[in-house]
Amino acid sequence: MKEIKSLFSKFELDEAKSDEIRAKLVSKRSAGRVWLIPVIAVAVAIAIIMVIPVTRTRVVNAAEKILKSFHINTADGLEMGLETEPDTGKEYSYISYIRYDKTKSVEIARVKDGRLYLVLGEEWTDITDKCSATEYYRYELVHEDGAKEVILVGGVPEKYKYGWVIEIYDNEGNFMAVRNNIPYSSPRYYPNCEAEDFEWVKKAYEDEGMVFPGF
Amino acid sequence: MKNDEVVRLFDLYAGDLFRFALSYMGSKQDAEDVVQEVFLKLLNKTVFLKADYEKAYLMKMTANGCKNLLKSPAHKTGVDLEAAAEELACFYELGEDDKEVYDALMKMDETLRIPLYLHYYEDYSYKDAAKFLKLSESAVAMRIKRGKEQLRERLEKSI
Repeated sequence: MKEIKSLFSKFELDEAKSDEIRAKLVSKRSAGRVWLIPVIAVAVAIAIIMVIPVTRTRVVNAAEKILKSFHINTADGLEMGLETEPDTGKEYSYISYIRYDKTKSVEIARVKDGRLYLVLGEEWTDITDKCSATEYYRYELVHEDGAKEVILVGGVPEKYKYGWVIEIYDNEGNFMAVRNNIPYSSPRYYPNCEAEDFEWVKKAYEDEGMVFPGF
Repeated sequence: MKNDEVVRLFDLYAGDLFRFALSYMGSKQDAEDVVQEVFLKLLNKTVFLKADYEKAYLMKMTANGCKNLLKSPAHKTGVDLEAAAEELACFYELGEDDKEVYDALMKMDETLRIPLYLHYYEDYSYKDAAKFLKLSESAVAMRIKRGKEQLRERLEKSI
């Protein structure tokens, strides 16, 4: 059956189409930070991810519960679930941010007229003097459903020199996840960032009792 | 998944996924659409893939994308496979022999064609193909045997 090998070896993805898809992949904003974590790893990381039960049934139950009730400021919801590796049948749990309206801005730190602001909807709070390359501003936001976000904004009011980290807790106070927007961690998009501008990130993680994953 | 990670996967596997999608769809345009959809979906997926599992995962996504497209009403009524095959032959400047193999494969039921492709192009063992297709090894072996017979028969007829 070498005919099959020989025939299909001639088919390459059209270069123009390849460029078109690639451009879309680069420009289209991903819906959120995503993880797929082996269940065992989740169990080990329980202290930072929340109480995720290890058995399938209980994990699914947990996912259903969160899916119904969880809302966060920087997305429309948070979902947990299980995904099975088709090859091995191994199960993975995941946490996913849901954004129904992808045009909606999720930036919660902004710079205007040389000042750094925490932005929550229409409310802008000037936090310039509380932030620097080594210091951050901490704000707790509790939603109507009881879910809580701890927002940490740091850096200086210059382009690509500030960012945010958000800890997310469910309505029972369980630590769910951490989300961040740190330009230094995405060198592809922000190639000129310096690590020294983001010393505050490491401090924020440590202060909050989280494991700093590195940039 | 982050954009740069998806782009890395695209650069590594887009060609393989395109060929696999083509073996399902028979149409260059449909195969391209499926590949595009697979990678755009990855942007919204919560997945961290181990290096040795990346391709299998993407192949599975591609197979699902192809099946969905094949089931769609628009596809059932709107695709002229003969014209698509002609376009493909023209675009890739296929010789007569290749065109005959392609026609013969595409006229074959996909339940035989896909195991043939996985085994003879992707070098999947019967065991791996069985896992991928969620069939028993003996079922895969039988399909490959029947697929080979049908392909030979069709090629002999076309001579």
